[in-house]
Amino acid sequence: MRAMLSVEEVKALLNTGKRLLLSGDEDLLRQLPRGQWVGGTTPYFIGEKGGVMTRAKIFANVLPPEVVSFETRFYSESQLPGIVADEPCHGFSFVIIPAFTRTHQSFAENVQSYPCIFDRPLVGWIAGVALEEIGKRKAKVVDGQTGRWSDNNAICLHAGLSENIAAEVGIVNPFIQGAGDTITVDRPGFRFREAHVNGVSVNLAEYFLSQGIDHRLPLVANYSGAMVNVSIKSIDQAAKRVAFYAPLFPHIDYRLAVPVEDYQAAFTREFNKICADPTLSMNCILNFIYGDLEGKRIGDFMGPITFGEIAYGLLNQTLVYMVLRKT
Amino acid sequence: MLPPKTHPKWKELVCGKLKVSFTLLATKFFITRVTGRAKIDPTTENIERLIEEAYGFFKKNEKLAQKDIQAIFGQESK
Repeated sequence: MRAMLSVEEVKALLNTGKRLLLSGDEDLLRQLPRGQWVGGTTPYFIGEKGGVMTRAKIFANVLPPEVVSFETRFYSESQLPGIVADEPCHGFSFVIIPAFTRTHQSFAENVQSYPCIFDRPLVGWIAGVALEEIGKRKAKVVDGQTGRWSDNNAICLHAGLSENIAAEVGIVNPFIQGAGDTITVDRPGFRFREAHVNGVSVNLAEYFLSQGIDHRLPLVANYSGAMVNVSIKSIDQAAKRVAFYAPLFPHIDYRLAVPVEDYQAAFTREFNKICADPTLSMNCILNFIYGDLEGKRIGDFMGPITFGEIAYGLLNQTLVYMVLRKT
Repeated sequence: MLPPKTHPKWKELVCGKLKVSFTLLATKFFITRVTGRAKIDPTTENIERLIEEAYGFFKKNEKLAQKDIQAIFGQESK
């Protein structure tokens, strides 16, 4: 079950012993009693009536009975690689990280090199705040079992599953690589002055400006058939520097995406291909803004609108989901 | 059943010489990582380490990644 609920409705679910994954405004989450839940802040959602920004409702994912264990733990930046060792032998891990923190940055830059990171399902999202509050208010995560909050560390749920059930993490991404120039970098990072375009060293900001690129289009890399986006945060003409919402990595070829004319139609078309009811799912704030998704549904998708999506690694402008399948 | 680590397809897989359409997202990400590492360091020692890693990944995900295992090894994995 997933739904937009009032504080009282969430309290009622917790009173019946339900295990919940919650997203919402900090003031609402702080009104909840302790229980088997984890949460993160965001006031943006796609609910029953479509995309919405609200401080009046909490988005709740009720975990099904197939989830047989529920262990939570905070991870600091230095503890992040330990997530892998704590993952259940049979289950999944769900992580929420506050946006624009060192933990967020470190996870994004290093997670792909954690040993065995792809062996077990890891899914999650980056917590945020209302766009007008960025810089004034901090994104936070909370462990409902202890009532402990953090504006810096990641909260992770390690959930065990019944023997005959397996978790599968997937993505819905309507963006594909365009046929244009190939961009590569020499080091992992969120900010770049220098990059290579078709093998030639250039200033990336000057290159983007000279090409008149649409900054709403992500760079796209092809990970053995999975299209992975990196969204452009800013192109600073004066500093001659480009910032991204996720890291670029060396040895990966990036190309600017083919434009998506109708986000709602494109996401709906791709989401309907999942052929299963996701236990949880989330979509990106940039898709909400660039795709003008306020008041719009995308297929049966419902979930928080987030400041980065996690499917093993950090993704941008992507819908991430997890389904539980019988094996 | 997963073929043994001595099967030649393992080496082709981690060296990026096997062009396969994968189904599972985790497989796609994993294969991108190991083939990237094989390009950076193609020594025999490293390739053996990557085969070990690939075998471990598919062993742990044998049920969920069945389609991918079949795509790599064909009938031999049945």
